Amino acid sequence: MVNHSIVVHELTYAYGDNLAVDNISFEVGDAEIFAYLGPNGAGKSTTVKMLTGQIRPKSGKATLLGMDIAREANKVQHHIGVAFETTNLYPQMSATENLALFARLYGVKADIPTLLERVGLGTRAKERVEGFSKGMKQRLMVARALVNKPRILFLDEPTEGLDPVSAEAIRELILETRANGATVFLTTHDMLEADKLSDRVAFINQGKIMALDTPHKLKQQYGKRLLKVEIERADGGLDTREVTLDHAETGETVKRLFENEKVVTVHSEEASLEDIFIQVTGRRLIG
Amino acid sequence: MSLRRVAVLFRKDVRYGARGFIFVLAVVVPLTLSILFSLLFGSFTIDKPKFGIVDEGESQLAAALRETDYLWVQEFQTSEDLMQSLETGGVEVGLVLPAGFDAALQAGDTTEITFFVWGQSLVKNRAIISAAVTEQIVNLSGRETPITVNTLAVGDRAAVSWQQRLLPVVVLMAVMFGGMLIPSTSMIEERQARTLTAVTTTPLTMAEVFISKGALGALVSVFTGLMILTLNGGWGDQPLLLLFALGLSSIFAAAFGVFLGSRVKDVQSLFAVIKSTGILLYAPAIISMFPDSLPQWIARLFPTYYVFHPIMEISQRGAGFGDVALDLFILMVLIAALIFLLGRSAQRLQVQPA
Repeated sequence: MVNHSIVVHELTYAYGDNLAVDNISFEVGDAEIFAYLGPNGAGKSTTVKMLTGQIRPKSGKATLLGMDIAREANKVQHHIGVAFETTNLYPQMSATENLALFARLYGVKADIPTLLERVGLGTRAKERVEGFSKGMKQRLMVARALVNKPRILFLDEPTEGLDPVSAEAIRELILETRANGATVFLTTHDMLEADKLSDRVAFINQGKIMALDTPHKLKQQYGKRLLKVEIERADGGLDTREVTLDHAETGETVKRLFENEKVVTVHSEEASLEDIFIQVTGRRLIG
Repeated sequence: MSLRRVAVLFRKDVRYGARGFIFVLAVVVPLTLSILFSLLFGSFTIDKPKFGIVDEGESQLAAALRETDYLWVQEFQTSEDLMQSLETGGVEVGLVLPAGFDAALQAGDTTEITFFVWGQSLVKNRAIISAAVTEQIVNLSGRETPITVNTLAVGDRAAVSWQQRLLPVVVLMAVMFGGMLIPSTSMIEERQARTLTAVTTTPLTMAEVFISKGALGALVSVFTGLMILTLNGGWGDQPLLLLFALGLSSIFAAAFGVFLGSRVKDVQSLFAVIKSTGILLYAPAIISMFPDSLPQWIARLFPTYYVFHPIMEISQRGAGFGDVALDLFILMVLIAALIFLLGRSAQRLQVQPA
């Protein structure tokens, strides 16, 4: 039986008349990486705010580690870590001082040098944060979210706008955190990242969860698997043909192509999460 | 609520906030103004009562008074010189000792002396000088000679000194300026940098943030208030009651600062608010500057009246708890109202759209 770190039941929140989160329900298992995908204004951040105890749901219930977040936010917050999309570090303090402050707020003794080493900031520990690049700040925020060894880690767009090296460092840290037994709740626009990292993904649009499953199953359910075949024409130019897989006549179609045409290349393709998101919601994640 | 978490944030604000421009401004401005006013209108450089004497016969009394360490004594050659100094406040009380004064005193003849008093001199200074002169006369005569002290006012008797007039403004500024400015700017900076969101997703609650920010403002407010009172010799007879009143006033200032900090968008807007509403904050003190020409009941309509008035009453007029109890009660009601509003602000800060 799967134990659930997060159980969300008919959660709703509205800013005035604007329904930001509309009656959503889902569960996140222990040590699961759960990606929460949606465009701007879909309700991702509002959901995270409710789950991290920053705002109280208008209705419904969210339970984290068996505790009702609306009633026991303070207790829950001892066990969660949050890395925000927007930088919110103390710029006049050093990396070490930023982490030490949060360790004291949690009332824990943290191994700050090791934590900074893990995010590649070991040599910059004593430098003021105001001189850090965006990537360094983002890595420091992830380190800060880990200072209390959280059982649930919330990451909001952790790799957005980062250089490939910083982004990869953060992805490794996410996997490492999960390997240590923590649950990761990841909100992101980046479908490739979600595909690569997460055990399950939820698509949220206009406050509602439109689809929720493993990336593999979503692709199976919504996506088309294709073969893209490049064929050389008589005049030397190239044509591309698409053959849909998983049909009864697929084999015969491919065979005919090879027999009758001059095939140059063959590539298999499967639908991306982005394609599926568009199919499910009718809109793109970005733009 | 956890005092440990409040202390963690408080320590961070002391360590990093105290280096900031606002912090220095909040402490330095009221102190500088007080020193400036004292130099211009008061006796900041001479904190002892200023006594002038004309000694026409080398009296031992004049010599003895010159030796006292609790009076600042200036000798004049003629009565005209003394009167001239008295009219401009150069000395507060003057005495003319005629030739043969000591001999007459020893013979028990002289039982009456006349003090010439500057109309704007502080009552406590007159009392100190009178007591000092009487004590020296008793020492010189060697007996409990009953001495009649007559006073003759020189200059405008009804006038209140500018130092006394300005003291309410300086006290109010000392209490409100730092108490209000430090928590409000700190709150705004935390909101703008979004560090407020970061710290409140830890077990630190918004109420703990408010208490921590307010505590720093209140401490600075008490500190500047005490400094101003010390500079102006205004501790009075009841230092504990004075501290209590100052503490309540500082809590009011700090709570108001936290409230502003939770509502105002940025530091520029904060200064715009302070500039536009400053007259309302300082209005009761300004009204108190003119007791002879403005109806004083108007001052009571302003909340900040209850911030400085009890302090002034205790420190300057020797008021007891009974005299200021109503003012202090009203101040506590105002603080309770601010705390209620802060509760609403805490909710509002947490429900801003994502």
